[in-house]
Amino acid sequence: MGATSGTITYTTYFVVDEPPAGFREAFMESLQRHTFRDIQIDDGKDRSVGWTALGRPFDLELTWDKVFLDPYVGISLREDTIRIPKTAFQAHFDRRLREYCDQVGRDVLKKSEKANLKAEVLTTLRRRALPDIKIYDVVWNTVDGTLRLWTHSKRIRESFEEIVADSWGLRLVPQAPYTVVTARGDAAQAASLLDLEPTDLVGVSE
Amino acid sequence: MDLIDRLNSTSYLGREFLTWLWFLSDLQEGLISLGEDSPAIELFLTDRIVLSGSGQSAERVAIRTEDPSLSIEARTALRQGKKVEKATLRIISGQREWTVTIDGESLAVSSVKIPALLTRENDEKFHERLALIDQLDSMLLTLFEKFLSTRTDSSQWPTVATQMKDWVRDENPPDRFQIPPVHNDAPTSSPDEDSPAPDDDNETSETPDETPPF
Repeated sequence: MGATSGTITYTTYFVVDEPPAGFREAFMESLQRHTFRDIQIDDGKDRSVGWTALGRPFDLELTWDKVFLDPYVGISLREDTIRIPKTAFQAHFDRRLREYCDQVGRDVLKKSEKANLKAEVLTTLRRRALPDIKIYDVVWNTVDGTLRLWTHSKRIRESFEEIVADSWGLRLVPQAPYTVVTARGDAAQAASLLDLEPTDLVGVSE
Repeated sequence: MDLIDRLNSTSYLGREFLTWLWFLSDLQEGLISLGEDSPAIELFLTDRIVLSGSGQSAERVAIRTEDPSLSIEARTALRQGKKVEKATLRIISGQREWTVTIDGESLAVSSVKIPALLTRENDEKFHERLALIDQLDSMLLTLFEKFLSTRTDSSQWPTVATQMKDWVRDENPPDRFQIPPVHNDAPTSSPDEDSPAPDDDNETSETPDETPPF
């Protein structure tokens, strides 16, 4: 979480361009298109990522008043993952394998038969498992153009950056020494940073 | 050069920034100006500091200490050419206090503690919480801009770098490291337990000027 309570750890981005006219409507449509959905287990998936109301993993009704908290825009990215322990999978697979061999009257199976059995066992186990739920708050300060994602996880940052690039129509640049300068449009200072060399603090002074 | 290359080639500036902050905090006993229009803040490095050399295989030293300036390990690491990779800062502005851990290369922020919220209403709490985080970010950004302004000034930086080298070598340590003089006319009664011993490094001499030089 983070934005509303709990640990405060975040990655800062700069929103580079001013949002175009009509942005809010397009933004809401995009959020609603990518609202969180349960994991599509029957499609062989074990993970799902999508938006929820800020700080509320089960609130999937994204309305204006829940998202636009002037001067902030606030939502949460929910990630559900199902993990089946290897030992549990192996035990269930071995049992299914024996059943299938008895059914078909053979001990030697084709590769495709084994692959199908594996997929079948995985799907069955995933349907029975409870997903691990994590949410990561996203808060955009529309006054100063900074956007905070409440995590440092590389995996989540990459998912988030992909979603934003695909569906928000915004360009985000991660905060770093160089981008602090470029974000305020100081091309001259940005260029001068590239010419600097690290300072030696132990050598002999001139 | 694409953006990733530019980010990578300038990431060392974050470590120099954190090292500079430590130097400044030492030099000015924590009192740092944020500019003419803003009150000065107090800033101290505390709790945990990570120092490392440059390059991917460089050795890292992580030290838990209340005051890195008093840590022999931390100062030795500086003398070995290491700079601050990550630091926990305590920042006081007015009556309010924040702590934050900053990673130098990315300027990423973690384990932030903000001042206690004053509001009781749930809706207001969110805005107040964000406003306090915004205020912290604003102070950090101002400090970083201040560093960059000096760092990119070819007439200023060599002087600052020389002062930092002296500080690393401890040739001209800040006043609080110097042993205060013993006064012969002091009363000869038994020592007060609360008075610092003459060679206590934590004793300050005079109250610092309210307008710090940096």
